[in-house]
Amino acid sequence: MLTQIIWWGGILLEFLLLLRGIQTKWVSRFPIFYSYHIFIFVQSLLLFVVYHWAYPRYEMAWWTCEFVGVLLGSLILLEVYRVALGQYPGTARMARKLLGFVFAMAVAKALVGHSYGAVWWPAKTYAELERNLRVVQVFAILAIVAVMVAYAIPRGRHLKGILAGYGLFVALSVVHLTLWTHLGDSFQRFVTYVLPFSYDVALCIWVVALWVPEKEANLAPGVLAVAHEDHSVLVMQAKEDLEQIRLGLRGAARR
Amino acid sequence: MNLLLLIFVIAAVLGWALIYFLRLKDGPATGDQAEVIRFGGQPGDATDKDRQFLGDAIFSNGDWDFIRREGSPSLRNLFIEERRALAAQWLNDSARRIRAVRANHLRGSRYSQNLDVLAELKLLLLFLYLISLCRCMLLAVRVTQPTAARTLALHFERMAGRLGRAEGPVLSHVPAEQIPRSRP
Repeated sequence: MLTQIIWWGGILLEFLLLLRGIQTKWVSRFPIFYSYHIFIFVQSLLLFVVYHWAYPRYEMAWWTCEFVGVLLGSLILLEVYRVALGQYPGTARMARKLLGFVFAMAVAKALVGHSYGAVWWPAKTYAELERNLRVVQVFAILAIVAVMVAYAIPRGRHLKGILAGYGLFVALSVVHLTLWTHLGDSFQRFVTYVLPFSYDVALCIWVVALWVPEKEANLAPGVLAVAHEDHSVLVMQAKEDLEQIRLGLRGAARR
Repeated sequence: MNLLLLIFVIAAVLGWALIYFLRLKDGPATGDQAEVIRFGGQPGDATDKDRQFLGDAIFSNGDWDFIRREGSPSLRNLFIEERRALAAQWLNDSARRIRAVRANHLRGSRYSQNLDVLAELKLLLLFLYLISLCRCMLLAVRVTQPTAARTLALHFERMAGRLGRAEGPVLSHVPAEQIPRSRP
C-alpha cells in the first residue's frame, strides 16, 4: 500500500511539475531539466506496466532506466552551469576547470582500479556502478556550489530549487546504494521505500521552487553595465590592496 | 568499512553545502558598476596611513615600557586591558578589509574573459595566509600581552618568506625601510 502511495504520489508530482513548466514556459529556460522529468514520467509509467505485465523483464528495464536517468541527471548539472554562469565568463572558466578536475580524478581512479586487475570500472554490481557515478555527481554538484558561492553568483529561486532537489536526491541515492551494496538483500525491503521516497521529496522541492515565477532582476543581471576588465589587472589590484594590509600587519609587528 | 564511512561523509558534506547554499542570500544588485568599488575608497573611511599609525601605536613597545617603569600593577592591568581591546578591534578591522578586498576581486573577476585559474589560486592562498595571520594575532593578543602578537607576526612573515622562496613569491618583497613608521 505504502509503495503504491509513493509511486502514484511521485507520478502526480511529476505531472504537476511538467504542467506548471509548460504553463509558465520554464520548459524553454530549462529544457534539459524538463526533458529529464518527461523521461522520468514516461519511465514511471513504463516500469509500472512492466512490473504488472512483464515482471521477468522488470530488473533489466529498471537498471536501464536508472543509468539513462544518471546520464540525464548529469546533463541537469550542465544546464545549471549554463544558466547560472552564462553571464559570468570568468566564473564559468573556473567552474569548467573544477569540473574537469573532478572528472579527471574519476577517470584516474577507474584507470588505477583497472591497472590493479579490476574490471574497467571498479564495480562488482550495477548498484555499485551507479553508486560510483552518483559520487562523481556529488563532487560535480559541490564544485558548482563552491564556485557559485565563492563568486557570489546570483542564484535565484529556480536554480536554488533545482540544485537543492537534485543534490538531496543524489546524496540520498549515494547513502542508499552504499547500504545496499554493503548489506545486500537484507536491506531490500527498506530500499523499496527509501529511494522512491527520497525522489518524491526532491520532486516536492522542485514543484515548490518552480511554482512561483522568478523576479526579472534575477533572470537578467545587468552584466552589460560592467566593463570586462583584464584578469591580470584585477589580480594586480587585489595584490596591491592586500599588500597594503600586509604592510600594516608587518609594520605592527616591527614596532 | 572505511569506504562506507567515507561515502557517508561525502553525502553529509553535500547536505551541509546545500543547506549553506540555500540559506545564503543573493548579494546586492549584480552587474552594477558601483558594487565593484576600489578598496579603501569609501568616503569618511580612515586612510591607510591612519590605520598604520593606529597599528603602530597599539603594538608599540614604547608605551608598554613606559607603563612598566611606572611600577603600578593596577595601571599595568588597565593598560593591558585597554590595549587588548584596541588591538582586537584593529585586527578585526584588518580581517574585514582583507575579506572586502577578496569580495571585490571576485565580483570583478567573474566577468573576466581571460581568468587565470593559477593566479586565482595564488591569490586565494595569499588571502588565507593573511586571514590566518590576523586570526592568530588576535588569539595571541587575547591570551597573552598585546605586544606578543608581533612575535607571532614576525614568525608568520619568516614562514611566508620560506614558502615564497620555495614556490616563487606570492607578493613582491617589501624592504624593511619601506614599512611606514610613524614613530622614531
